[in-house]
Amino acid sequence: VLLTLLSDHFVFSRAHVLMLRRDRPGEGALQGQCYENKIPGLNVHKPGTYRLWLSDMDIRPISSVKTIYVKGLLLPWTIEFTQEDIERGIKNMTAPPGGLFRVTVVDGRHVPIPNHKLLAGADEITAELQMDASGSLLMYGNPTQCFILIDSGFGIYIEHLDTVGL
Amino acid sequence: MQSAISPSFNVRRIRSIASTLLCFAILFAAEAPTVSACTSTYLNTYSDGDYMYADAQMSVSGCNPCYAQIDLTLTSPSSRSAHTTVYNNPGQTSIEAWVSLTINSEAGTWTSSADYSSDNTYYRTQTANLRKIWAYYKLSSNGTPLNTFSRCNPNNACDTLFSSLSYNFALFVVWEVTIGSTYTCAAANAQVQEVNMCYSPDTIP
Repeated sequence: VLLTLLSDHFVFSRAHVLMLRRDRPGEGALQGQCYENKIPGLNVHKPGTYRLWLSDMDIRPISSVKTIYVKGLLLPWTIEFTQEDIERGIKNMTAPPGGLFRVTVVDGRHVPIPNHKLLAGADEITAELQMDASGSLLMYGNPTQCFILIDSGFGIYIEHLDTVGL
Repeated sequence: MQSAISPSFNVRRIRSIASTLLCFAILFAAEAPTVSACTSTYLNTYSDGDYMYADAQMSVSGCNPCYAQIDLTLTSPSSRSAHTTVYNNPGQTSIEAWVSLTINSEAGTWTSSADYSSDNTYYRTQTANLRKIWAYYKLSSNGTPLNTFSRCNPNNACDTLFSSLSYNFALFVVWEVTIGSTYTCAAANAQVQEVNMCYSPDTIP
């Protein structure tokens, strides 16, 4: 199946793609590459609901020529494949509303904590968010749709980045 | 362990070839100017109660000549492993690697790891690492919208899990997924079984 991502705001220039069945995650993990919003050659054999992860992404705001490296989606997208989609071999998906977010973990004095890990979740997914040496992580998604576990005495900054200025 | 022919091998191979041909057709029809190679991969881990199996498939197209290789390893909780390397013959665009291990009553996590190599312009290698975990969890805190569960027998693999379920104790089937630089744990509510206490050790398939 050729999957095409549709977005009014971003071009997904390059990304590593993983897709798992929602009802049996991990059984039949499909992988592919995304290039300029297109993910060709996904071996989808069965209709159903899947979760789609993009990781190690280069994305480009439509209003800009600059490409930005993003570690991945904050949470996977949900996509439904019908028998008709599989037979046609073509599927279009509108990228869920979201944007670029920088998450920073801080201590009680608001000082970033390097290399900290956070746990986030939604639905039946638990994700480990690994901060970098500066204490931050750049993700694509919508943090208001997920659940983030914060240890006592810690805090997080979540910044919605203005892509025009990047 | 060398790959072997499974009963459904031919069906899957035909599907893979069909998918590859479809990929060609789509790329040609769409006149995609820059997608020079099309690589698709598939990884599955399953068991029949006596054996654990790992099955990796790969199709390539849009390249001439094409190169495709799979390095597949299945590892048991006690670190027994089965490995195979499969690569394509000239003109062959779909390959499959398949390994198995006896379960031998081993409880814990099983890991399937596949490295795929191709001529793809943008990625030389794709990797996926899946660990299938059968583990007991206990409810550690109630929350909105999700409750937090902790593994009864922590094993550095999905030791904390979020779920909308509210069982006090439960047996989860969890997939620990490492893809690229992201790490997640995925469970399906339909596969969760309520139990009445924390059992030890964790169960077997």
